[in-house]
Order: sequence, then C-alpha cells, then structure tokens
Amino acid sequence: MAIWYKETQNDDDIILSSRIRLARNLKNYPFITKLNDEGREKIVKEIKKSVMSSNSVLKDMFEYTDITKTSPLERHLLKEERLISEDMVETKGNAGLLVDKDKNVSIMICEEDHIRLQCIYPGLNLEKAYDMADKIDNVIEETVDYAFSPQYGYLTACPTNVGTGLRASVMVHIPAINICGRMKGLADMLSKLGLTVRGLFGEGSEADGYLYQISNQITLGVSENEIIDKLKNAVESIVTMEKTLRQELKDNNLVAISDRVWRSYGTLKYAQSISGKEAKQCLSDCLLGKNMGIINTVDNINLKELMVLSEPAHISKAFGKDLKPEERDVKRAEFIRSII
Amino acid sequence: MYNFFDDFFGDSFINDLNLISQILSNSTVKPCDQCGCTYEEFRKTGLLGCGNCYNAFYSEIEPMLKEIQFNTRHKGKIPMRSGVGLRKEQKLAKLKEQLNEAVRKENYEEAAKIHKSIRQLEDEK
Ligand SMILES: [Zn+2]
Repeated sequence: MAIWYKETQNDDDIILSSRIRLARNLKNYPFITKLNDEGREKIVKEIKKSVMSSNSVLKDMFEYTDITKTSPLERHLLKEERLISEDMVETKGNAGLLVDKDKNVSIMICEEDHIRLQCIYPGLNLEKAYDMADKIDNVIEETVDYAFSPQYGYLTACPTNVGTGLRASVMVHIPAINICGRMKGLADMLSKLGLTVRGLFGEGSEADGYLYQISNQITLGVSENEIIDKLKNAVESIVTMEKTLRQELKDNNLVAISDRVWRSYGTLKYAQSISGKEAKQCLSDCLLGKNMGIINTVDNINLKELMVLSEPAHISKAFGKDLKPEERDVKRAEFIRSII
Repeated sequence: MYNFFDDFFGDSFINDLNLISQILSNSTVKPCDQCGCTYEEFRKTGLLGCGNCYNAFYSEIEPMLKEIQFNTRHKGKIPMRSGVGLRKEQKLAKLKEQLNEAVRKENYEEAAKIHKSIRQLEDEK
C-alpha cells in the first residue's frame, strides 16, 4: 500500500490513516536513560542484524538509515512523513531507523524504548497494520531476547506503555464535529472508554487542520485484539457523528459553510504568503467542501498530500534549506498556487 | 523560642509540600540494584532505568499501575521463544473464565466440554 497521504483510492476524508506502534526492549541491556553510547551502538547493531541478516525473511524489505549521520532537515522530513517521532528528531546519541520501501513500516532503534516498531496504513486498517507489526515483531524476537515479565508483559521505559507495548491510533479529520462545538463531548466520551484524542499538529483541542489522533490509553491487562476492537468501534461512531453533523451543516447552514470553503480556496489560490497553520486550515476546509459536494475545483488534487508537502521541512527541501520562516511562507504560497 | 510546628505548617511548607512529601515517602525506596536508577529519578522523568526497576520499585509501581492502567496483569501477546509455559497458563485462565460463565448460565453441557479441555491442557507436558 502507498504511504498514508499518497493513497487516492480511498476517497474518505474522515479516516486518514491507521497506526500500530509496538514498544520493545532488549533483556540484557538497561533502558535508554541508563544506557551509554556504546550500549546504544550494540543495540542498534543487534536489531539491524535481526531484521537485515541474510536468513531474515525481512532482509529485502527494509532500508537502514543511521540517524546520527542525518541532517536536522532530513530528520524533520522523516517526522513530517510520520516515520520518526519528535524525540528521535532531537536525539543526540546513537540511533537507527529501518523503513520499508512503501514507507508503511518504520522501526526506530534507541528512541524512548530500544525498539519502536510502527506500521501505518491509509484508511481504517488497524487489523492489517497490527498483523504486519506482529509478524515483524516475531521475526525480531527469533534472534533477540525481549525484556518481558509474566505479570507486566513487555517491559517499557515508561509504565504507561507496559504490557502489550501497543499504541493503536487512527488519524481522523473531523471539521464538522469541531465547527459544531462537539469536541469537548467527544473527548469526554473517549476518555470514559480509555481512549484519548489529541491534535495532530499543534497542542490542545484546537488542532490545525482539524486533524486528530484517537488512541488507546491503556496498554496493560487488555489484549491486543480488545484494544484494536475498542478503538475501531469508537472511530466508527466518530465517523457517523461527523457525517451526521456535515449533513446538518448542509441543511441548516449551507451559505455559511460554502462561504467558508470557497474563501479558503481563494486564499490557497491567490495568497502571496501563507503560514503552515493557515495552509492546513484552508486545505482542511477544501477537503471538507470536496466531500460535501460544495466545491469541484479541487477534484483532481490530493489535498492530504498537499498538507504534508506544505509542512516546513518539505518546503525547505523543495526551495533550498536555509529559508527564514517568512521566506518559507512566501515559498509555501507559491508552491500551493502552482498546484491549486 | 523556635517552634518547629510554626515552620512546619507555615506558608513555605505549603509551597514545598509536594517536594517534601515526595522525599518523605520515598526515603525508604532503595535504588534499583541493577541500573542504579533511583525512585526520585523515575518520579522526575517518568522513565525507568531497566526491566528490574519494575521489581525494585514494585510497592510504588503496583498501585500506580492500578491507577493509570486499571490493571496490573498482562493479558496480551507472549514472546514466542521464552513464553511457552506462560502461554499455556494464559490459555488455562481463559478456559476457566469460560467455564465459570457456562456454569453461571447453567449451560452444563458446554461446561462439561470446557472442563474436559482444561483437563487435557493440564495433562499436556
Ligand atoms: Zn533498574
């Protein structure tokens, strides 16, 4: 499957991607906070070998990147594609990254835990993503001893991940729930289920571009299937809620919502300088308008991809890396105008 | 005369209440003997130093897990190579749960079947 933002077959703009993340640590080493650089190097080597060695079934699947040797720009690009975490962008010690050719699977070595294995697929595909992560986990475990306790399961540096080490999340685009003021209610409902919602870009409840990550909070005392089922059911009801509210907007506030969508389109088409935040907001409005049948001028444009391509590191990569933020806003506007 | 309690319950004490209560309650917790991680370090960063820290800070971590995870016993995947015995134990626990459920529903035919599976599993080496 294509990387999450390039997927165009799935026209759904509410569920963008499903992600499974497994946290694992090696038995015979301390966790990252108590590990010296020599230890980190050994772990990187050991994991890399377990995945890439000649008798591993995964050997042709992955490419290896030595994070220590990457530039800050390269790290930010990887982060904007959701292949590495913020922690890994900032890492100073030895660290490695294995990414498969389709960029669905990434294995961060020496992040908060020794191994952070993640699998991202477009749309609602949690089972498939877990299946893949589970298989890779088994291959690694053939040659590596994991820190595991019968009582607490997979031992992780932070007790909030202990047990399954599984964080399952779904990225959703829910502008109508936001516009109709239902975010607080949604967050409360999710928290009762042991799930959390957080903005994908920016912090707090007002996420840029109305993109949110819904994930499980509890990792211990529940099975992987239970975690995934619960999340999946919650996401399905969020989709229903978003669709209902979109219909209500259309029925009761058509002028206001059309005005909003077309103004955002105008901004993208004519702005001479645009911040990352405003670009995401306008792209989100157009995505909403496209799926509500309000706007037809963006039919052949992948707006999800544009959201990623207009992020800071991607703009810097396309237009030269030493851009100041204000120069970047000009280039971002230029880039978006060339496509819209 | 210096009054210990004035100082103890004065404003400055309230301000430092969190800090002091931490120190008081943790003074008895020994650092992990495998990685040297202290309980204070863990409190500060939220990160443990090694797998053995879960044993070293057991009496602190156990109630904490109850609070944040609502559970203190793993129910999920078990590593392939090292978890053979454990996997059997987990399977037995699940069957026993099903047995109780069947008995509760007075479905004795089903209960007998489950009971047989439990016996079989227990006899396996
Ligand atoms: Zn330790």
